[in-house]
Amino acid sequence: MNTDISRTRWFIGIALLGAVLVFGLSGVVSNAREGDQPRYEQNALYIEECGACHLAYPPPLLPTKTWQGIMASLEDHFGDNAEMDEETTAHLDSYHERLVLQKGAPTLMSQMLRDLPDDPPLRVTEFPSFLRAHEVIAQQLDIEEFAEGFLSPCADCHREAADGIFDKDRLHPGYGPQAWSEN
Amino acid sequence: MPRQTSWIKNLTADAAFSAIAAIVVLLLLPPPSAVASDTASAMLEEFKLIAAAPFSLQAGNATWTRVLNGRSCTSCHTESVLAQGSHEKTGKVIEPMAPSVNPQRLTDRKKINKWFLRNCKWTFGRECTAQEKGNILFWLSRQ
Repeated sequence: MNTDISRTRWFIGIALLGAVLVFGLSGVVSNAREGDQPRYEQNALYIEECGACHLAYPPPLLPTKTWQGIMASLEDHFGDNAEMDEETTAHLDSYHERLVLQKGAPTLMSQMLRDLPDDPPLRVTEFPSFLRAHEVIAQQLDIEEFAEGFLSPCADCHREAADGIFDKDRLHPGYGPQAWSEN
Repeated sequence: MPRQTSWIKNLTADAAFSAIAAIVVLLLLPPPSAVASDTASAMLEEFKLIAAAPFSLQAGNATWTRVLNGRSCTSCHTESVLAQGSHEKTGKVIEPMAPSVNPQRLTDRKKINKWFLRNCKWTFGRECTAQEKGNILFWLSRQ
């Protein structure tokens, strides 16, 4: 009788401990893996065409109108020529369209829609909610406003920007663009 | 004696089999990837049909370093094509242009044409002529 109880106890004990261990370890593993997973569909042609000169900004950062405006003015892309042939343009248009910033389930990026005018700016760095989210940097640096392009290289601080990861708790600590020291 | 003959026979058969296998494997291997000179030579031949004068290393170097309204190829690619450059505005690193240090350069026709178009327009405010492109490509392919 006693041995029976003891056996059952052992069994339950091992099962419970094992389950806790497996649960915990799988959590640790999946958490570690998450950092490597892009949060949106990546596209090699997009990275080649747009990522050659700057971060290939994740399409879910900008709404349809902004992407259309950018793609229609590539011959004068903020002072640079970034024109591409029709085939490439069509491919990237449909890629953008699949992933654009739009109303739906709230995500970190969907905050970018807040207070966005009907005719949104072409630069994400001019979006109202973007400016609000980065106000603290101006305060820390004690400057009135950012110089043009100051906040454009997202990946200087958001190291996983190319993967669409902009979470505050994953910011590169104690680091800013090189331009910071000049201000 | 008969034993030895069969041993030799086997050896000959093995050798023949190995040779055939080697040939088949070689045939199945992908052709060696394009090298700078292949793509560049083919493009130079095409530019030659339109260009007025023969291409020269000197002219290529001159166009590469020419400054117009404060802009030049060297604005981003730096004074040396052997060195890394950086985008004038964004600061993004541009790998060296010289095939001798960056073998991937000048191997992709589409890429070459795309950047000739974009960068000639940015640097000189217009497309480059076949003569200019030929000169640059000729000079660059030998760096």
